[in-house]
Amino acid sequence: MYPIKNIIRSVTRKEDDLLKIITFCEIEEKYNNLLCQTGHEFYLWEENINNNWNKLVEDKPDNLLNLPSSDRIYNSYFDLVVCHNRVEQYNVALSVSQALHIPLVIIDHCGQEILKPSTIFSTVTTPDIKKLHTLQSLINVCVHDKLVSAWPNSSKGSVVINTGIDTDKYKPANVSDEFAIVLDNYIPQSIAQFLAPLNTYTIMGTDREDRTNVYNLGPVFINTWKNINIKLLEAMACGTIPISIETPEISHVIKHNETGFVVKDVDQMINVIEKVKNNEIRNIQQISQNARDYVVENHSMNNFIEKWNQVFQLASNSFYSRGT
Amino acid sequence: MSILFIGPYRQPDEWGKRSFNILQSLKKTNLDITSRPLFLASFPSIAVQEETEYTKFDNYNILIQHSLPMHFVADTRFKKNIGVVDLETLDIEHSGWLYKINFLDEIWVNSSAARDYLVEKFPDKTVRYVPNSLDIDVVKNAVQPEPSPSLDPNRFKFYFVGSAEAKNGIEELIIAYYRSFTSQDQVQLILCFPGVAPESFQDLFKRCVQKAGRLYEEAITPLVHIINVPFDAEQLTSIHMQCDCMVSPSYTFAAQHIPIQAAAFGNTPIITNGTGTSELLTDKNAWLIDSYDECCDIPERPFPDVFTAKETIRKPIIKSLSRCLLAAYQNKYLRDQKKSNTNALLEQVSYEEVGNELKDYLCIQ
Repeated sequence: MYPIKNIIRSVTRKEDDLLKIITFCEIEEKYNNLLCQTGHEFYLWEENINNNWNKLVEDKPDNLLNLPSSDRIYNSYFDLVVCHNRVEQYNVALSVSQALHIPLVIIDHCGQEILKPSTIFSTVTTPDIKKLHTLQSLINVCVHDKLVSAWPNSSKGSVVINTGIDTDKYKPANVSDEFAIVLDNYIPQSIAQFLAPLNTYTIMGTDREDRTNVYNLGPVFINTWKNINIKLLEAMACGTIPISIETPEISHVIKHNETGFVVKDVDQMINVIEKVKNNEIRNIQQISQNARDYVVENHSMNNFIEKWNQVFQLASNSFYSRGT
Repeated sequence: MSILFIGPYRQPDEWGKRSFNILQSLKKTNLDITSRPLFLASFPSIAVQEETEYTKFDNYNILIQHSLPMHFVADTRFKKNIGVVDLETLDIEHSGWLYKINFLDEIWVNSSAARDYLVEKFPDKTVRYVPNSLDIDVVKNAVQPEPSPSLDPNRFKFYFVGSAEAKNGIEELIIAYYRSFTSQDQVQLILCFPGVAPESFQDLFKRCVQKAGRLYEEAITPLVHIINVPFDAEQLTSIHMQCDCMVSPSYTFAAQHIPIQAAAFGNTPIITNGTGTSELLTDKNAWLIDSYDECCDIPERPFPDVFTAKETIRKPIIKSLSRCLLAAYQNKYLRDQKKSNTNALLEQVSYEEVGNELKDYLCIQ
């Protein structure tokens, strides 16, 4: 443990100093990319956790760096560690926080029913929920207001920071004449089997080098995640109609027949796709507009950056402590 | 003058208490102090925050780090970098700690043995002896506790408080106790191992019984009582007030807080001569066990590079410890004489007194 440099830093840093923040990435390329827009310096923790930054999902921003080797970590200083996942990342994040004596911020991407970002039909081995409730952190950031009550006992304070979506970048554009469905490339085998009937359609994967306007390559976006995720919001911002299997969290964003479609199974999904394809849904334009309006209204990028900067400000005025 | 103090003052162990007391003494200097807690142990820490954690100054003149030497940093933004080093062993050349200590401008230690050792290693550096301090109000304002049913009021009670580690001299204590007394003596040995698992001290007892040989015979062995529930400062005060004589036959050079507190309560501790504790507790207010320098061949090795046989510790002589136990039990006159010197000790170790000393050290350019 080499904490003294970080402790001195916590006392001597100035309010406008850029923070050096350790973050994790399993599937959080997009969220980390958004965090980088706050301008602080981010470092990817690569030990113990499978951190493979997928460049097809998002380019690595200039202010997101790989963490130096162990020796150099201890010769540098850090201000904060952020953890995206209570189930798998937390223990490593906590030990980093303890070893370096820097505060920890937990980002809750999901509530208790889902526990961690996961695809539909995947199962998460249920850990001790009581333990997950009492995880120590300086602050909890919930990515959606419905999550704020999900972990009530875990820290003294929770803030809601709705994920920011750049609605100038993700906006409606002309859809190609050929009917296609847009689908997240991240599909485990189990879901691939489930979604096999969709193979009769042209499928456009979201993760690709020329991903500008990817959500405009087809009129519908199939959500494959149980939790509210950034690709879903980006698709909605483009006015692409989201179709998702019903989950406790997705229905907060996709209101059936209002901002998209929530279905029970793949047959219903194909049924909706067919209706869209054959122009059988009369209010389709309205749903598309509602989807975009929802994102514009609730997922402002400015608000995201402003609120995260407030969290970083709090962290900046704070220091690592235990037992409080 | 503004000072940044970093130390484990929220850790509920001997090290934490030393750090807490240094911070309280620093606060009495009326200098500008900012403090930050260091957590180097995994057990639960003290939740109480210090008001000095909320102060912030534009610049700091002095950095005081109370830590293990391997964590020390020398930061050129401070005019003076001071390290508080509680060396438990001497002759630590091989550990790499001296290399880290060498970066500092000034070193504070709590035993003359450690000071002399470091002065020899770093003749051009300032090495100061900083005594342990104590919250004397705890002693002055203590109220008589309810008698504990497990402590026989009619017996003379020796007591030990700490972890069941060889370096604390537990084996020597138990063997000396068996050697000195029988079940006919109105004595009791209270071993307080707060939070220690029974297996730890059961093994220890087995070793002691083996070493004691025929000294150990259930029918003639004097009473021993073990307390292993964790206790707070108030309960420790209660133990001090219900027992008669603290025994701390530690091998380590670092001065210990609890025997000094025991002495403040008039409990004339039995301590190892030549250690940091015997700087404050002399034969005027304590019983000194004869001891000798020995290589550090004790089983617990808290750090990979220290506590090896290359180092030196101060081992108590069992026969001398036995003599101290008997004298403390039998010689009430001498015990009372030692007890009468308690007030002088209280003055010497108060936060104000030690704070004045620290202020002098800090203000010297």
